Amino acid sequence: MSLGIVVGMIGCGLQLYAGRWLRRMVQAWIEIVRNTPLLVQLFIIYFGLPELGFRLSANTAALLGLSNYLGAFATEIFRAGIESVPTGQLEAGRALGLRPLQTFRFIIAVPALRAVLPALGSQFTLIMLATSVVSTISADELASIANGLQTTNFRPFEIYLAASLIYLAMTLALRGLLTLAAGAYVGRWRE
Amino acid sequence: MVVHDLTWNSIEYLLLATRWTLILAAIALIGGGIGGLLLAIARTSPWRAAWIPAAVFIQVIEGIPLLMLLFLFYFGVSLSGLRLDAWTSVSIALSFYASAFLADIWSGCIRTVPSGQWQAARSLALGYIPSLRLVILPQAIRIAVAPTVGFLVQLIKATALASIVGFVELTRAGQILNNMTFKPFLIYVIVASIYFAICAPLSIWSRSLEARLKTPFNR
Repeated sequence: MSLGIVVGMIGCGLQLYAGRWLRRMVQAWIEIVRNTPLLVQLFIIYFGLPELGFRLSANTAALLGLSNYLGAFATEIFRAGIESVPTGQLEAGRALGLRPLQTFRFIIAVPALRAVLPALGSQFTLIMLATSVVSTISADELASIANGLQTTNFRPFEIYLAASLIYLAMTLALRGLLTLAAGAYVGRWRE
Repeated sequence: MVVHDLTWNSIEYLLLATRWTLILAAIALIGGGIGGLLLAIARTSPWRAAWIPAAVFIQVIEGIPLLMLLFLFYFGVSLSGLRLDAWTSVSIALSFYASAFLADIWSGCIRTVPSGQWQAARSLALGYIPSLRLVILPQAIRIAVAPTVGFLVQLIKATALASIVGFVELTRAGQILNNMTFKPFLIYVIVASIYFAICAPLSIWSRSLEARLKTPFNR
């Protein structure tokens, strides 16, 4: 997940400040990732890449697939956040004699982050739920453990119900935590 | 074992399987649309007995991965004695999934209609249902179109998961082809591009709808 954010940040930086060609490439990458199912992306990474000579373990492939997926979405979210900051604010920063990096850190990043927190939060939840998909390429996580269990005791419904409840608990916990974090963060900057 | 070559027939096979992806998405959209509308109305209604169950339902479905939902319906319903084929259980699971997310989107849209509209409808002596039908929903629908189209993209991508319980749609067809030809990279890239060809126009459409909606508010 945090890897996805880093990818998202890099992608976003490229998207906003890089040259035209690079920007177009990033845009194409986002469109491709956003408009194809994660499952198929995982299949390409896990089954397809070995054909080209890159052999990855299931866990690495899953990690790569998920960070790539989250990265594309995070790029869009960050970009929306940064673009939501009025240009007047940027000019004000420059008028105060701040260097570009300083302007970014003190003037843009804060309101932008505040604007994107809800969207980012719900994206995190979605990604956490999406992790269940990597069980299909036999990477280790909750759903694949559940799969393993149900093949040994033949009680699929009970196992999957339990797994679902765990997911539900995690989602609710994550959502609560994010709300708390967002509240604390926004509150701190409002003063 | 014979290793087949990838021919035009295989592409045709994939395109035929795409049909099932689309049908599945349509069913989920219709089922989810009906469920989602009822849930959204219940969620925004002033009665506790209506909005609390709706809110809980939305939270629970959104909190469980779709994959788990599919398994629960696939294995769970047969446990109760009813025999469902993959087709039915997948449609039901996807409809549940869609109804929760659509209810969430739509109840948000209903809430963005200013409360003055409710009061105005009330003062015209309209009851709850008529004011919802004649005043609130027409305004909410306008706001709802763009995010709904956006969700449709997500729904189409979600149908890929149906392949896991053995339902033959685009992704599953790709797997079957792969088992025959052993060209995973090429096949899955083709599969991905078919998804892309379906979803990208929808994404673009949703974005242009969104942009069109925004303009009057910016002035």
